[in-house]
Parts: sequence; C-alpha cells; structure tokens
Amino acid sequence: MSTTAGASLRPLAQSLKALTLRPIQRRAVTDYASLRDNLPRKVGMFGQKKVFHSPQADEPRRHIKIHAPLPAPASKTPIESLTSLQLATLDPTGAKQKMFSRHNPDSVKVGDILQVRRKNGEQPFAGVVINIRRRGVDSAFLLRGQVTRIGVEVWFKLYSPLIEGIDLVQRTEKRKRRAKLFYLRKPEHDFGSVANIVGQYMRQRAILRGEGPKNGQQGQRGGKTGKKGGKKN
Amino acid sequence: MPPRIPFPAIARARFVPRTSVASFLFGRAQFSTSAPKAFGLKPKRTSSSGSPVLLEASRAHALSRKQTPTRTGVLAYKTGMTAIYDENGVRTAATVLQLDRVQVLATKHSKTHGYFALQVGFGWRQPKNITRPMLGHYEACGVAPKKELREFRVKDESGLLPPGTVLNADHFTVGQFVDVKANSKGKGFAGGMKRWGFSGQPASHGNSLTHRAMGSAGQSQGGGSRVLPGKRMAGRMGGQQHTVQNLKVLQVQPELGLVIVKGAVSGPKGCIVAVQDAVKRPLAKTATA
Amino acid sequence: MIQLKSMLNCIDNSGAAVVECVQVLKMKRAAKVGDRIVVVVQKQRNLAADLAGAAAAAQKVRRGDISHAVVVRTKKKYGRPDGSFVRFDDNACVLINKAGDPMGTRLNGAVAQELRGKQWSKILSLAPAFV
Repeated sequence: MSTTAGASLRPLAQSLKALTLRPIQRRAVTDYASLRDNLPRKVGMFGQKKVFHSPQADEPRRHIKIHAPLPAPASKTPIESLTSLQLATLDPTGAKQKMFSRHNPDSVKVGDILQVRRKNGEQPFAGVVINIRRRGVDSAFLLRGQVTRIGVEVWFKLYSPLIEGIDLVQRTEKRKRRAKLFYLRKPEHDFGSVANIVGQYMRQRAILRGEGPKNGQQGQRGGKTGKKGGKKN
Repeated sequence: MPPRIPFPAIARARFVPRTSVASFLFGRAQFSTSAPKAFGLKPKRTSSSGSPVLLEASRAHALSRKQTPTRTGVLAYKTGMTAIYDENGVRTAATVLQLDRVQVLATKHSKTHGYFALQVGFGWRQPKNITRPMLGHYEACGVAPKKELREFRVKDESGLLPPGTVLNADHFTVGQFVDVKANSKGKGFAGGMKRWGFSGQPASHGNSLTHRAMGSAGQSQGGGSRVLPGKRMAGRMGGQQHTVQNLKVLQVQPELGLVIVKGAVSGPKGCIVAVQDAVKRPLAKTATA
Repeated sequence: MIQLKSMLNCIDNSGAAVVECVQVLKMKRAAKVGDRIVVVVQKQRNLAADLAGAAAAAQKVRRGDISHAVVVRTKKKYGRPDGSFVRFDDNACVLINKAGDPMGTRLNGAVAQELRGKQWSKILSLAPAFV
C-alpha cells in the first residue's frame, strides 16, 4: 500500500514541481516579441479570452421590406395653385391681373393716374399711382390724390371684391426713375388735384361711347365692361 | 458542503410554503416578475380608506387632469401666407399649411405606456438615408420611410387609429379651431431689449455708451447679493418650439392637401408644423361636422 | 395717432383753427379717427375784434378754451376690412360739446368714413366729402 502510495505520490510531486518551476524557467527566457504577437486580442478580468461573437454574424443580413411611398401631393407650389384658384373667382376675366402684370408692356406704371370705382356706394377715388405691390392675390397699389384740397393716400387691394372697376385715366408722360414716388408727398413735388384730368377723361369717354353728358351715371355703371377700353386709351 | 448561496427572494418564494406571513412578504413579487413596467397591471392608486377616487398625485389622475384633444394631429409644411376674402369682401390674412403623405405609424396605449398617443409620419425620405433600425420600424408599421415623425397624444382609446391610416386635409373641418406648434425662427444671441422688451436707456441726457443694456440684475445686500433664478437676460432667442393656439380653419382643400388657417404661424416658410385640434376650443363645441 | 401735445387742425366754423390735444378719453392708447379727445384752442380762425357782430357771435370758442373734439382725419394710415388703407396729409378734428353735438355748423374739408360706425353721423352729414 505504501509503495503504491509512494509511486502514486511521486509523479504528483513531479508534476507539482513542474508546475511551480516551469513558469520561472519560462520567465527567464521570455521572448517578449513572440508573447506580444500571441497575446489574445481581448483579455477579460480573469485572464480568459473573451469571445465577442454574434450568432448572426456569419448569416446574411435580413432583408428589410421597404414599402412604396404614397403619391406626393398634387402641387409642389401650393401658394401659386391657391392663388390661381382664388383669382378664378376674384378676377374671372384676368383683366386686373393683366393690368398690373410685369409681362404686359401696357401695364399700369407708377406715375399713371387711376380712378377706382367702389361697390359700396362710395365716391370713386382718383389719384396718382405712387407704389405698386405685387404679391399674388394680395397685390395692391397706392393712390395719392386730393379730396377738398386735402392730400389723401389710399392703398387699394387689386383683387378686393369691393372694387368695381379700375380706370386708367392718364399715363405718365415719362417713365419715372423711381419705383416708389414718395417724393410726391413733399409740397414742392405734390401733383395736386387730379379732378380736372379725371373730369376731362370722363367727358371724353362719354363722347366716345356716343352717350350724352346726361347719361354720365349710366356710363359710370357701364364702366365695368369699359375697363379694358379705358386701359387702351 | 457547498457554500451557501443566498437565494433571490423571488426564487425562494416558490419553495416556501404559502403561509400568511410568506404571502405578505413575497406575494407582491408576482406583479414584479410578470411585467414590472406595465401600467395597466399596476393597481390604480386610490386612498387607503377604500374610496375609488384616484389620488391626486397618481399618474392616472394626472392623465385625467391633462387637457388633451380627442383626435390625433397631423404634420404639415408651412408653405407661406396669403389673403382670403369672404363673401362680404372682408380680407383675412391666412397661413397655408400643406399635408404630405401623413400616416399613422404606431399607437401607444395607456396599459403599456401610461398614456394614449399616436406616432404620425410625414412626407417621404429615401430609404438609403435611413438607418436599419428605423427601416425595421417602418416595415413593422407597414408604411414607407417618412421624413419626419411625431407623437400626438389623445385623450382616450377612441382617438387611436390603426397603423397605415392616411390623414388628409379633410381631417379638419372649416370653422374649427386648431393649435399649431412649430419651431420659431432663430434670432441668435439677442440683448434684453429685443428678447424681453426691456426699455433700455435714454439716447441722450448725459448718457454715454449705455443705450441698450439690460440695466440692473437685482439688489445687492438686502436682496441676497445674488441674481435670482429666472432673471431675464441676454441670450439665445428664437429657434424654440412655439404654439399658436385657437387658429380658425378658413379653408380645407383635400385635393391639394391644404389646410388654411387664420393668422400667422411660427417658423420660416418650408418648416414642418404640428397641427392638432385646439385644446381650449374643443371640436364638438365649434364645428358642426 | 393723436396723443398729449398733438396739434390738430380744427375744420369746423366754431372759431378754432389749431387745437392741441390734452387728453385722449376712455383709452390708454393714442386716438384714431372717431375717438373723442379733449383739446385746448391754440389759434383762433379770426380775431373777434376784426369781425362784424354776427360773425363775432359765430365764434364760439376763443384761444385758451378747453373743449371736447372728435378726430376726423389722421396722418397715420388706418386699415379697412377689405385690406385697403387710408391716410390723410394732416390731423384734423371737429369740436363738440359734452353731449356730443358739433359746435360748428359747417365743415370745410373731407373727413374719414369711419365716423359713421361710431355714432358721429351728424358730423359726417355736415362734411362736404368723405373718404
């Protein structure tokens, strides 16, 4: 029993010896270069090599189904579409639009004299155009005139439904060098009253239509259709 | 004998005979093991006296207090402003909002998330510009990749819609009121006069080099010798979410996807805004439809 | 925008030519067309001594008198429901008594049409023109 015990103990002691001695020996002859090359890439807290391996890594990526987009909205420029929709009712003939269009060589320019007839029974207002604001359905123009020798300026919205008609009474003699004629507010540049010019225009128009001066009221009412005629004069 | 490993309470509960003491100690664990964060499974917090009235500090009571629209909102482009004339010739300045392929993507339920909400998508984005996790989400929702996503809260379950539902401009009715949320235009670093409307200092009367300063930031000794929290000072202005409440819907054009609301909306042209039924003027009171 | 110290033309025949606003009534903002203000007469139209008896009697106010007035024209433009805007070249008013009736019997200049909606139709009917 004792021999067998001794025989079995000896290799154990040897192996223990080998276990304890070998690291010392290896440390003595350490080849740092080869150790560095053989170092595991990731070393965990207790020295084991940690494996970062996703089970799906070797499989092909799952195909993700992409649904087709819905059709895009009908209009990419909704404001323009909306403006044309509105103008179809506010300016069905397109006369107002043409009258102030930049593409129309005969359009209204600053310095021209306009008369605006209104639907709510107010007196027509006449004056010199001193500013034009082109903003689609919100376009407007600024008239400067005199009422009982008091200077009055009125912004009119071109497509306002309360405007019955716009008459071009007189064109400016020379093209104005400014887009906005605010200098007309100064007393030395003030245009003064346009009543005479407008009166003359109304009389002339009545004659051209073959109407007597007594029918002036009727002529005014018919001015809705005569707007284009007024523009051409 | 192996070292004694302490059992977790839940695991031990399975082996311990259910005496009255044990059920008192471990009985609640059943809730936490099944679904620890599921709101619906949590008992509603009521008074210990047995009254069914919810505790004011409880989440359920907070939800019932919150003013929330009954229907979802939509996302839209702010395309610009225009003017609308009514039959009497009265002009109203209006903002044109355009809906672009607005769809419901997902819903949140009180039982799972603690409140009711819908995730709504807007527009379309190239799939190549979208990450795979998001593509998976779109696939699960059954819709095309979206340009923008946003959550809209609703009052209750009746406001939830199935994913894929398309919301067009006719979601809104003419005459109803809406709240519009958008990021305002950034103004950069602004002084006290511009940012908070301070008066500044006089231009003359012996004043030198101090005309737009914010002035004093508070007292010295006696006032605590400190600047009180929330003192209005110079800083970044704008670029923050801003809500305009109670805008009237003037027109709705489903064929162009347009909703035209009265007045102005924050943000530049082309920004994305969120439109939802007005909180303070509910749909039932204002619109007949 | 008529406020304290604003100088206005008086366009009636009450005798005042230029008046100064000393108070805008019933509001904390500047007065617009149709608003009631308190004025001090700063310039008379003609001195009473130069006039004959009847004309002198027509001069109801003298320099330094305090009176109520209604603004009828402003230099500040004001909007109308259809989006149009109106502005005059001067600020003008019409003197009224405490009851709201105009002191003068004639007006010599255009007034704003907005007076109609503000129970000043009596002034509007006296005016030679309105805008």
